[in-house]
Amino acid sequence: MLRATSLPVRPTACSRASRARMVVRATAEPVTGSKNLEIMRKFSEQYAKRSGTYFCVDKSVTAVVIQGLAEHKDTLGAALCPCRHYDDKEAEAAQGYWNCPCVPMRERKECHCMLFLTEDNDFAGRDQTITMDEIKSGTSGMH
Amino acid sequence: MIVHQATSFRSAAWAGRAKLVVRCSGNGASSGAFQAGQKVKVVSSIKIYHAPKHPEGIDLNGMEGTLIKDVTHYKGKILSANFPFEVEFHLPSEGKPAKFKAHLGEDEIQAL
Repeated sequence: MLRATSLPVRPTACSRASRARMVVRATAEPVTGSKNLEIMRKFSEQYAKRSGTYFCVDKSVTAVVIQGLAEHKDTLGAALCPCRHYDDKEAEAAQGYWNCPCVPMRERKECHCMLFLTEDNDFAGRDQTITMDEIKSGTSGMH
Repeated sequence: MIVHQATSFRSAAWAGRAKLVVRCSGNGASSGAFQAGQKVKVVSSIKIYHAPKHPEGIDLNGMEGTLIKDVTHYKGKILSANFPFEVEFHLPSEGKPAKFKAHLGEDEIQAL
């Protein structure tokens, strides 16, 4: 979004001192909070490595989940699991059971979103990394 | 979940009346079977990876612990945790006693 403000100046006798000033302020607003998207991308990589889990062979699955986590972080302040339905999202985010990494993942390494997959999982790929480009192309075609 | 059962008897001769039976059971995990402080035993094979000094994972089957709380009850609301019973376990260890908590489902534990 570009904003331009200008200060019109009336010509006066000492007009050399006064000049028209045009101030252009450019602000780029992130689309769907891309700051949180980068944060969740990094978190996902770190947590996969820390937990010894791998991303799905189909990286668009990974991308969609990371996008969903970022959106919840934008709206709720916490990365509530995007793959579940809740009656009261704010209360769930405050209580924390489903905040990524959720309790089933932390304790049992069970991630029903298929974001973090144990090595023995049929859908586990070999990657513990995902680039922002992969996220963008994995989520293209979404809202 | 609220269950309504309504049966009505309508007959001039019998002077029947409509009967409404409403049975309410709380949503969330508690069926009242477990209470905080209760000793429980794990009755299925559950591998957890967050116990101290066991990063390779340990199976809780057969272990006994103490129920801490039902995490679906939070500030007067009912939340959606699928393993709602937080149980504290103690691990035998030389030196400092090791303990940890794990979340278990209703059918994964039995009262002692």
